[in-house]
Amino acid sequence: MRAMPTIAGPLGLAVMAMGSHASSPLAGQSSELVAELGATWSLPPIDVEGGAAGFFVTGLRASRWGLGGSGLHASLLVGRSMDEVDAGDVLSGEAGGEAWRDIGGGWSSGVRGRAFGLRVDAPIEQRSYGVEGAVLLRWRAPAFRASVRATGGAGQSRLSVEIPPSDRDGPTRTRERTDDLWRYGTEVELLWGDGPVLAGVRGGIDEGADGTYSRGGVQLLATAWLGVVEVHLDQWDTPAGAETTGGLAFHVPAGGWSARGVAGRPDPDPLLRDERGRGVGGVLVGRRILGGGADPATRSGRAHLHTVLDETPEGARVRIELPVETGAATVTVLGDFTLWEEVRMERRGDRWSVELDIPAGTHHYGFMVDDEWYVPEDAPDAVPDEWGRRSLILVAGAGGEVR
Amino acid sequence: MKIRSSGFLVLALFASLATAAASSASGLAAQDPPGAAAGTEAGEQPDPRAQAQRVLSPEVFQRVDVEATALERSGIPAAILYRKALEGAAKRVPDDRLVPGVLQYAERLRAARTALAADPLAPVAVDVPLLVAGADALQRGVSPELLGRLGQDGGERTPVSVLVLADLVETGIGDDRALGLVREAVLARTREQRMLEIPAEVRRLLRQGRSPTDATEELRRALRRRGGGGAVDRGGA
Repeated sequence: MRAMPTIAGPLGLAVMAMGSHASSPLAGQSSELVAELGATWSLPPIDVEGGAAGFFVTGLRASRWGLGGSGLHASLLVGRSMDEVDAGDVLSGEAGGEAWRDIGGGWSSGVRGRAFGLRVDAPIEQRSYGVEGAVLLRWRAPAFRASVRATGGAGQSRLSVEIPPSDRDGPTRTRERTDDLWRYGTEVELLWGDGPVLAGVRGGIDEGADGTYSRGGVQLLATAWLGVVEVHLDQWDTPAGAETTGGLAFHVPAGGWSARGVAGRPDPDPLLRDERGRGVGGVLVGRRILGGGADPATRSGRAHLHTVLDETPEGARVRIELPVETGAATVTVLGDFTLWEEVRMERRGDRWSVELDIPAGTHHYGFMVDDEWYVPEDAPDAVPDEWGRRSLILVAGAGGEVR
Repeated sequence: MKIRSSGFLVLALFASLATAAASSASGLAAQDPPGAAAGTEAGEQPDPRAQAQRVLSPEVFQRVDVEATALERSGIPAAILYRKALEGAAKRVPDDRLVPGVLQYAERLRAARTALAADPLAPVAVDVPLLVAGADALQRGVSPELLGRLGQDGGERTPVSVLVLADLVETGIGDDRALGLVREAVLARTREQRMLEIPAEVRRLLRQGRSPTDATEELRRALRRRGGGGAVDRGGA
């Protein structure tokens, strides 16, 4: 069995950074800057002696997610080893984003990109960085969604380790290894479900600098008032052999606070050639410094999307507004009061807006954003419909007292 | 530790994505529906049944029409069901799922009417806005029994009081406390637009660390004190 210093701890950091956008398509619109503090740890590879390596971690995470899953994110984490003898400081950062465009018939096309960097100071000095881009095609039906993506990327990984002298007077040697890494490949993902739980299968194949990576697996995504949880299990065939990966990731916002974490065995990454441990884990607690938005946990900051301008027993004149978000080219409102035909909303400053005369009654309504049904996660007075979506409720002609 | 992150890569990526997002304009063509154009008077709306016949496939319309007719025979206006079918069509629900959803809604309307009629003081005629609000409340987790109790012992139910009750229950306030708060608002002759803000006030107090009991009690005291104004101090002691 090999005996080498455990360096897998930083991988936990990398996973945490990369997980920052995992929940974005389900999280609704939001814009925030969050300061985070926590810990991450990892187990060494199967054939390596040693215990778990842990790091105290702190950093910043910024994100801006709009309608339809478009948005940007960035995170920067620094960590200090819990065991100063075993490892030094680490730095992990990632920035990326995606943009989607509706192309009709339930189809959307998108682009996604990210850049990442990882730096470890000791005991093995490591510098890894890379950029990656993908072109995506997505099809959504009421209880099914499919996506296919083609990905390409390049990066570099440099490892440097000091080798102690073989005798007391001998020189200390440094062994360095630099790998130019690249990948290209494709992945298909199928998800079923129309409510808070989505289940799916996925598979893909990548060519990397060191050979072929193929995978197949299952995943489960759940959104509830607690937040977002993702569980996955994958079987891989890599240049290093066959292996199984899996784990759990969660993101739980609660007011201005949030908690996110990962646990499991990380996926191989052709752009992050590394000695992957038996498992990694970590938990970060965050406090929002700036921004806000969708918050499925607490429904805090909920604001009505309609304002009654004038009201009589026969009905009301109502202004309906929706905040402008990234990527929304067209927004319409529709509901009982339009017999479910779309009414264009006009962009006025930072909002989409329309004024309507609405007959007295209890009405359901919502929005079409770039041709997709949309009700903000944090909107008040929303009711689930019979098909797993939500509609807003508007009571017109309610100007009087409750008698 | 010196930080040497790949800053230019980050900036480059942000720039490219900003460009991609800015160029993502799509040409969704919304219609200007009859009687409901932006910034205009609503005017006359088409008949929901005629609209449903125009929009739905013949098979779906036929099944909805049969159910709507049955609903109307039981005293519930058929238009509610045609609107629900139009809602499903607007949300692009496939036909094989649309019809079961409409039938499910019809059942909930019947359940709401039964719950609301459990109150001996309830009017005989069907109050459509109240009925729709009641069906929504059942969907949001209000029990039929609680819905029935809302109108008992003083105070007439309105769509707004049902809506507020449902919102409070959904927030996690217990049945009795939610009902007590709504009744207090009714007795205080709280204006309905003001009443709609009560759930938000409760959530604000919960976020400040109050227990559900304390939050609802504080609101009840404020309603009594201000005779329907109902707002608690923004600072929230």
